[in-house]
Amino acid sequence: MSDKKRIKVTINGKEYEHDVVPRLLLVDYLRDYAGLLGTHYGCDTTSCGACTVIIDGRSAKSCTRFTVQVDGRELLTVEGLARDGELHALQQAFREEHALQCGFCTSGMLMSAYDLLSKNRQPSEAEIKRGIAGNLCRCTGYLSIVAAVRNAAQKMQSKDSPS
Amino acid sequence: MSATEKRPRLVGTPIPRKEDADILLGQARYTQDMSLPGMLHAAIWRSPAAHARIRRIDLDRALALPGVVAAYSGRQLHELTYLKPMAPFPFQSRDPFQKGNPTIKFFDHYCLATDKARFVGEPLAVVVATDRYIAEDALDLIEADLDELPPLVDCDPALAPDAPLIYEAWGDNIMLKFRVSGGDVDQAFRDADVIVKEEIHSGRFTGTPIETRAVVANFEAAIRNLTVWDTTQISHPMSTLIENTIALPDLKVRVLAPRVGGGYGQKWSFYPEEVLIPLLAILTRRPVKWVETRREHMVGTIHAREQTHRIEAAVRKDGKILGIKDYILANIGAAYPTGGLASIITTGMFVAGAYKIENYAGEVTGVVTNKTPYGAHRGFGKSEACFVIERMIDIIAERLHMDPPDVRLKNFIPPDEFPYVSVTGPRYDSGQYGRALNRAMELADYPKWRAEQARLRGEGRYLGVGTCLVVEPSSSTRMGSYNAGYYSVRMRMDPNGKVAVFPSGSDEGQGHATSISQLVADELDLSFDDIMVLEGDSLACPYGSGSYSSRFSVVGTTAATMAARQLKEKILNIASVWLQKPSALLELADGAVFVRDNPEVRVSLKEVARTAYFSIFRLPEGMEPGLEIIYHYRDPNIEFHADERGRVAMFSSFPYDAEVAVVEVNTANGTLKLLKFVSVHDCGNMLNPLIVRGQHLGALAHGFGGALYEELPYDENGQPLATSFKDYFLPTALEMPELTLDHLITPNPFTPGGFKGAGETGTVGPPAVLANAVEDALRPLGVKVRKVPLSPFYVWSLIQDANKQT
Amino acid sequence: MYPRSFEYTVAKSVDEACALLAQHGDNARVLAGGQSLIPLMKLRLASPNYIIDIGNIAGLDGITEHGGELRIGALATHSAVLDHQTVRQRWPLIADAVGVIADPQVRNWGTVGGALAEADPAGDWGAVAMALNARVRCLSPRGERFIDAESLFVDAYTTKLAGDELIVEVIFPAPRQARAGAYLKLERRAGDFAVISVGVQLALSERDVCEDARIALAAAGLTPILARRANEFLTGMQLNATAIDEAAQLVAASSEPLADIRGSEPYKRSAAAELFRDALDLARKRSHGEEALAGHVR
Repeated sequence: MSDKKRIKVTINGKEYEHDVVPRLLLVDYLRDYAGLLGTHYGCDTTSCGACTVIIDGRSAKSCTRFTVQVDGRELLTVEGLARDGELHALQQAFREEHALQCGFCTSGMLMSAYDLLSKNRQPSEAEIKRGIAGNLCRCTGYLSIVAAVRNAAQKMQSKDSPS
Repeated sequence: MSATEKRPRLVGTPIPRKEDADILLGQARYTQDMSLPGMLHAAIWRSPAAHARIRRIDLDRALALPGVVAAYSGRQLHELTYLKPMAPFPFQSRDPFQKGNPTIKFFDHYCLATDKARFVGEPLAVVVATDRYIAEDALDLIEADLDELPPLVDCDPALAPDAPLIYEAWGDNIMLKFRVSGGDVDQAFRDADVIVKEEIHSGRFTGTPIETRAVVANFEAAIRNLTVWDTTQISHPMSTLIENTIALPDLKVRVLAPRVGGGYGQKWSFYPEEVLIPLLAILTRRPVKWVETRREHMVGTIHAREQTHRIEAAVRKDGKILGIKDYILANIGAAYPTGGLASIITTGMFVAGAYKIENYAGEVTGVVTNKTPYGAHRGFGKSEACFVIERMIDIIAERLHMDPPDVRLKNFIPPDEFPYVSVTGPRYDSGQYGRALNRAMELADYPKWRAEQARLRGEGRYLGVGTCLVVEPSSSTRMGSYNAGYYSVRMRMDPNGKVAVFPSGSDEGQGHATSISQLVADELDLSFDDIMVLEGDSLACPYGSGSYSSRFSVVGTTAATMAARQLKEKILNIASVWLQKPSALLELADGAVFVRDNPEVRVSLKEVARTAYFSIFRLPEGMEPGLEIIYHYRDPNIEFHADERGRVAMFSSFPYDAEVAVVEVNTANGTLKLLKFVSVHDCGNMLNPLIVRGQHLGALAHGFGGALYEELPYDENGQPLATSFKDYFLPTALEMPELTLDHLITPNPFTPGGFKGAGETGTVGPPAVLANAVEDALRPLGVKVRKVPLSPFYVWSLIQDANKQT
Repeated sequence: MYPRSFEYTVAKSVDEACALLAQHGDNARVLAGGQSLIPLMKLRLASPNYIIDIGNIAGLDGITEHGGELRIGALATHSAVLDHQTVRQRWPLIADAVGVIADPQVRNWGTVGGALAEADPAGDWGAVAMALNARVRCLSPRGERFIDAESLFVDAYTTKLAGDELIVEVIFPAPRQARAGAYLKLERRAGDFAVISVGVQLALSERDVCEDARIALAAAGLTPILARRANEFLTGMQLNATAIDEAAQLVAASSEPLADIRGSEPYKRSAAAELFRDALDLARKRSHGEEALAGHVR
């Protein structure tokens, strides 16, 4: 049995502190300790991306990170996208474009799209496809997700532009 | 809006879904999210061998690990007198059609194997611990003696007279034999100008929803209530199946499907874990949770599609197909109760495809091997049949020096012959096959690509054009099975005029809540947001057969519509007492009932509802209190009873898809460049075009997966070679080609809404049309495409083989 | 899916990490980005008792160019390399390769040093380093040493590194002709392991006479492979159709791919030759100053 480690992490602006065993995967910490169930398990080989979150401003597959590695870091999960009850532009766009069916890959897709748009405000279709290439979906065939990310980029641009 | 105007109609509009907000906020709850106080976690020890006698499984070291609460092997569980063999889903009996055709052999499977392991991944033992990490550590500590036996991987060796037996009591390795015929196939073959004989394979393929399976069970011992949260498409049948398998007196089972992350048929089955986990809850007296890892999913959740067709077509020299004989071998894997048998029977029924072929004899043999069990998968046997017939059309065209679209057009069921009773019994409801194919070819600019093909051949380049038209029968009913031929909906308007709907199906992402809300909103002129839908709860919802076969669009929508109409009738009858006018003169709109010609004379819907519940003295004579209806809708276009030739109408609606694909093949590495892909889809009327388009695109992507990327190979020891997403190539966004989509609308003539199924058709076409395109491209080299996926390695190998023969 | 237990320490310096490695021997593994190690641990194919986290050690993630020589710190992530202006502009072979490693999430956290030390037969960084004649700077309790990429890889998943030694930097010498390079990977689908990968770095004079050629392959054997005979053959050759054909055959012959579900040995050789042609063509175009994009090949 390994010694537990004390970790402190900020998730969606809120501080969490727990003692965890080193082998606890971040995805399990988020779900079982922080109570944030929006991040999902979909595979065992870092392939599907259903577990994607943002760590210190960069998207990461939380199934391929030990909780101890995020000590002192800032995380954003799908639960942190909406502000004051208002859906984020990405969430609105996903709904408008029917970019989700069963919804299981959706939180991961949103976080990857969020990461993409934070670095590239007007991505092309090819860049969007590359941006979500680490996220697998079986329901939608991806094209509606690409449309949703474009839609969200436009929404975010017009919010920023002077009126 | 004036006091008499109705709201705009929602049916037929692309309204965004009401399911989405929860999912987008990360608040939707899937089975893996369920948690109960004191919950334990199960990990399953699965067979590492494809075929072995179980001598000994020793759990002592596993049990000694701190945190482990219990561990069991199959033999230990077998000592429980109330544990029965797993019920033979989807059938209710061993002679489902009651005609001795099909003949089926069954095996008494228990939730953990007792005598032999029969496929890699078969559950043999289980550990229950305080967390899953510890349970997995305990699996490392299990010791077992398995005497390996010779494994059977392919059908032909399994059928050899000296083959090892997988189920000794059977005497052979044949689980199912089914024959179906119509017309006079022998005469057709005598009349033929040309006989075309081929062997065509449909490869092993599976659905891989992004959500793996999960089961959480809680047992209230004092009252014998067992609650099971399960990623299942069939909550009600599952509750019955579990009750029939865990035969504790007074056991009452409730199965709930929380939000389900994709089904595609993978979750339409009866799995050992669906007995095992509830049993563990009973034995440990604590809630127990099991979440399938992806590797478990790749070996322990059903596969599909693996068939070999030895098919002969009797053809007239003008291209008319006079008859077909098809000898079908399906590689069933191990003989678990999965719905695979129903699937392969279905293949035998639909080899004629979209064509008026009036003479047919099909024989289906389901062969057991040491592979993962074969089950239901999007397309359900018809995808295999379509693949074969669509390949045959192109092969026949080549023999007759005709263009494949012309052979199709010559043989299509003519539009004026619908409803058309096909040679094996199903009554095809409606269709415009010629029009759809011509439209697809027009959108593809077919002549331009033929010209381009000729030009590029001159440069030593290989471009090919493929076409197909696939019919994907939907909404199935099967005598003697859980697909019982009806769909029930309970609908309640509460005292405030809001409506709750309890359908008897289930939702894995199809948007039923939105679709039903659109229907009910239109029928009762309510706000879309005042309608709540609850599905997948075997206690709360009326008994039903669940979701499969794209049936919701056909029978689910109709049941909801008819229930709403009955509710409306009751509302108007109550209002007629209030308003002292016959109900025929009354209108229901925007929260009120009023006299059509004198709208001032009105009563609010709320008042009517309150009357029904709280002022029953105001109800018409003989009327029951409340505003709650249950409606059972029988599938209108099916036949229950097969005849002596095996003919029966098992599916009621017939969506279809015409496709054209243009590819260029790189002969040095076998890669394909997809230059054009057109799909013209017809699913009748569209309840929500946004949802239909999503199904169309998603199913096509799924079809591309099976056509180009996905396969489940086994080595000669029966070891599966694709057990993760690192070796099972589910396409990413970067694999999605540019698509040209269109649709026709040929309504379903049998239902009020005119909708057909929409969820599966797209999966069926791509393997056929792309195989046709690649063979067309490589025709100068003499290449014959006999299977999918068209991996670069397979295409390259075909070219090498063809070169060797020249 | 669930790794076995281990003890965990955060190393604050390279010295500390090396000392811990020396102390714990074969039972210890270093954790940088974790994008290679953690997947192995989840499948229980690797179960070290002791993990030394070096991911926070400062000063190991720089990307700098001095006098044409590119230095990449071992903890630089694939993403950081891909996004770096200098790399994008002057090292297209690197940019091409890093762009097809795994996916965005994995690229955000996987490190160059981690990938090199992992020595996955299908790993791209090894072939990149070989094609660009790179060397790695390593530190151990015995001090610093340099190992040429050409001799770094000993076997599948095995480098020349001692058990207590860490890569701290990869050094790419200034190429004879900047920008004249390309890297392509044939995959079954985006993000997958390579069926085969080829990197080509050229120096072309007038009339496309090849003054220097370095061709390296990944997923072509147990280690990345330098296609020496092809390199020698092309040096001094004009790049005409005959020369390219011959070179392609030599590239195919120099690879020793393993048969698996992605293809047989003859297939992979044929695919290697074809991929080489495409990479050569890209490198040649870029040497002429043309903008030419690589992409996913499948």
